[in-house]
Amino acid sequence: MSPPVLEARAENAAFRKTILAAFRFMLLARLLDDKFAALYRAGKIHGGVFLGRGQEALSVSIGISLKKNDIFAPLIRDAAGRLAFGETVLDAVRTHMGSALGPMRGRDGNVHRGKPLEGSLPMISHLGAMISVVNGMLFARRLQNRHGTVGAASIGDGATSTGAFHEALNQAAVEKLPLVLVVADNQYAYSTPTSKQFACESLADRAIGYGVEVQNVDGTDLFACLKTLGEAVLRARHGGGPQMVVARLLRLCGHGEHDTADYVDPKLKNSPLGRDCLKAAEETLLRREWLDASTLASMRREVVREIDETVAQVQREPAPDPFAENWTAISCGHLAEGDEGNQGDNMPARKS
Amino acid sequence: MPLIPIIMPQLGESIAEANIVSYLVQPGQEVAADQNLIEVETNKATMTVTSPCTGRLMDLTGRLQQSYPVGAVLGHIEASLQEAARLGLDVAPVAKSGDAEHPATPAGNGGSHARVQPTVRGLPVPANARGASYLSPRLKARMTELGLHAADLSGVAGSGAAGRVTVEDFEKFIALLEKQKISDASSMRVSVADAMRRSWTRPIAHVGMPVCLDPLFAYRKVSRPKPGPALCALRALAVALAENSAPAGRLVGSKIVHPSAIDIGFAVEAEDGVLVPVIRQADKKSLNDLVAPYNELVALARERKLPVNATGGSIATVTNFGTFGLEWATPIPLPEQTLVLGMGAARHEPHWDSVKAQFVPIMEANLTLSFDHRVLDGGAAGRLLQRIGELMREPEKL
Repeated sequence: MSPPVLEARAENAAFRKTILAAFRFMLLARLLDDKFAALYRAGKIHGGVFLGRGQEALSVSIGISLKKNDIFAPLIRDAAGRLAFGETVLDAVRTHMGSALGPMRGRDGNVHRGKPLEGSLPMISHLGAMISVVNGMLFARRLQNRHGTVGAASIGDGATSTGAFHEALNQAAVEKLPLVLVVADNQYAYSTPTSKQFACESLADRAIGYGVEVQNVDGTDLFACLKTLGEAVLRARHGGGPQMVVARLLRLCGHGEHDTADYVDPKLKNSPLGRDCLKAAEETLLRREWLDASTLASMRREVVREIDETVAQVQREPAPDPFAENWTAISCGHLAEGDEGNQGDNMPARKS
Repeated sequence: MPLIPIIMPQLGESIAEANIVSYLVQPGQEVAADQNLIEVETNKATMTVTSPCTGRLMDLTGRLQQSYPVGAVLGHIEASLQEAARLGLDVAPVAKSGDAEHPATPAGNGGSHARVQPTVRGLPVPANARGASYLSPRLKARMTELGLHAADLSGVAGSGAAGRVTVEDFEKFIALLEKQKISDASSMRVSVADAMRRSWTRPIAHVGMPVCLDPLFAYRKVSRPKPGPALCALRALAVALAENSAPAGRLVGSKIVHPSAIDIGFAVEAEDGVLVPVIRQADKKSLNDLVAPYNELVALARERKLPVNATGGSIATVTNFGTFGLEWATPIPLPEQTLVLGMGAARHEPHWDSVKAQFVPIMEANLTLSFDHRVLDGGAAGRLLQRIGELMREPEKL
C-alpha cells in the first residue's frame, strides 16, 4: 500500500510518533463529529452540523504538516485538521452549542469559527472565496517582511467550479505565494456528482493550466496523505511557490446531518474510494504493531471521556447575552474604538 | 428525580415540523445518552431523535403518525440528580414558563444568567412576514426573548434611522407597559389575533341591507325541525354561491382561484375567542336537513370539542352578531376567505304596504357582507347580498 520510500522512513521513530499523533486526532475528530450528530438530533445544536467522516486522513495531514504561525483556512469537514492545527475540543464544542465563552462568543455557529489572529480562519461558506483570503494574508506577510510561513486553504471539488478558485490560483501562481491548496475531491458537491461539475480528467489539470505544481494522492490512505502534504508544505515554505494537492476520496456521510445522502451511488461506496480512512489507518497500525489493541482501547476511552466531559462542561456555561455583548467584529474590535460617528446597531456594550 | 424533556430537533434549515414514525424504545426502559429514541420523518427524510442524557424513559407524549413542531416536548427521561447537574440540563416543567407571566421582565438586567440551552424551541419568525419594517438582529432577539411579534410594535414611534424602532425605543415602551396590569392572553386569543392580523393586510369593504324575516318565522311555525335565521342565511349563501361561485374566489397573484366545494363555516363564540365549524357542501342539502348537523356542531364548538375535519377549508363564513343584540357590524373575513356574511338582531320595523296604503309592522334584520375589495366590487357584492335576501324570503324552497 505504501511506497518503498515511505517504508524506509517508517523506521524513523519521529515519523512513527507523527503517525500515531495523527491517528489520535483522526479518532478524536470522528468521535467528536459523532457526538455533534447526536446532540443535533437531540435538539441541542442550532444550525447545521457538518461531519468530516471519511476525510479525516487528508484533513489531519494538513493540520499536522503546518506549524504555529502558519495559516489554515479549513472547510466544514476539517475537524481533524483543526484539532491537529491546535484547536481545542472545548472551542469546537462551545461554538456548536452557542456558549458565550467560545471563540465566537455564541455569535456565530458551528463551522464558522476560528481565531484569525492565530492563523486559523473562520470560513466563508463559498469555499473558493477562502483562497484569496489566504493569498491576501500571505501577501501582507511578505510586505511586512515576515518569511517562512505557509498558508493552507482547504476546499472541495465543488469549489474548483467557482470563478474565485481560478482567479485566486492564478494570483498565487503569479505572485509565487507560499500557498498550499488542498482539494478534497469527495465525489459530490452537496448532491452534485463530479460528472456534472467538470469534464477534465483530473482536477490536477487545473493547477497545471496556471503553472502550479500539483500532486494526486489517495485520500483514504493516511500514510500517503501525510507524506504528500508534508512535502507540499515543505516546498511552499522553502520558496517553491504555490502547491496544489488533489485527494480523491468519498464523503461517508451526508452534506450535513439534515441530508441522508440517498443520492450517493452504491457502486462508489463499495469501491476503493469508499474505504474508511480511519479503519484503514487503524488496521495498518495494528498490523505493523505500532499500536496494540489495549493501547487503542485506552486511547478510545480517553477520547470519549474528554468529549463527554467537555460537552457536560459547556452545557453548564452561560448563553450569550445580546445586551452585554460588544457587537463590534471579534478579531478587529480595536479598529472600531473611538469611532464616534458609528450609529445604529454598533453601540458599545451596556454595563451590566 | 429530575425529568429531562425530549424535544423535537430542527432537522434541516427549512424544517418546521416532523412526523413521528415509530418509537425505538418503550417507557420504563433505561436509555443511554445519544441513544436513538424516536424515528421521525420530515418532508425531506427519515431521521432519529436522540436522548439528551442517560436515565429511564418516563413517557412518550407524542402520537404516532402525528406531526409536531420543532421544539415540541415529545416525552421525558428521568435522570439522576448528578447526571442532570453534570450536564446542566433544564428540568421539566421547563422553568422558562415563568417568563410568560412576566413578559416585561428584562432577562439581561442583573437577572440570573441563562444557561446554554437548546436553541430550537419554536422557530424564529421573520419580522417582515408580519408586516413590520426593518428590525435589527439585536431587537429581534430581544423580542423573541419576550415572545413578541413585529405587530406588537405598532404603537411605538421609532427614533432611529428612517423611523426604525431602536432597542432603546423598545425598552422605553416595555418600561411603560410594566406600570400597567399585565395578564396572559389565552392561546385562543393569540391565534385569533394572528388570523385577524393576516386578514387585515387586504382592503376589506362592507355592504348591508335589511331582510324581512316574516316568511321565515311563518315557516318555523309549520316546519319540523325549526331552522333559525342564521342557518337560513347560511343556506341562502350556499345556494347563491352554487349558482355563481366567483364572488367566493381568492385572488392569488394574478389569478382568481375558484372554490372547489361550497363548504360554509359559521362563527360560534367560545371562551375567549371564536371557533368556526364548517358545514360541508351546504348547497347539496335542504335547509331542514341542515338543522341537525348545525345544532350538533354548535354544541361541539361551545364545548371546544370540534373534530379536526369539522374546521378549516371553508370558502365563506356566516356570523350572527345579532345574538349580541347588535343591528350592525363590520366583521372581517378569515385570512383565507374573501367573504363573511353577517346577520343582525331582528326587530319590528314599519313597512309601507302599497296595497293597504299604510305602514304595517314587519320583523326585519340587517344582512351585511364584508368582502376583499380586490376580488369583488360593491356591485357584485350587492348583487350577491340581494340574491341571498331573495332566497331568504322563501325559506320553504331552501
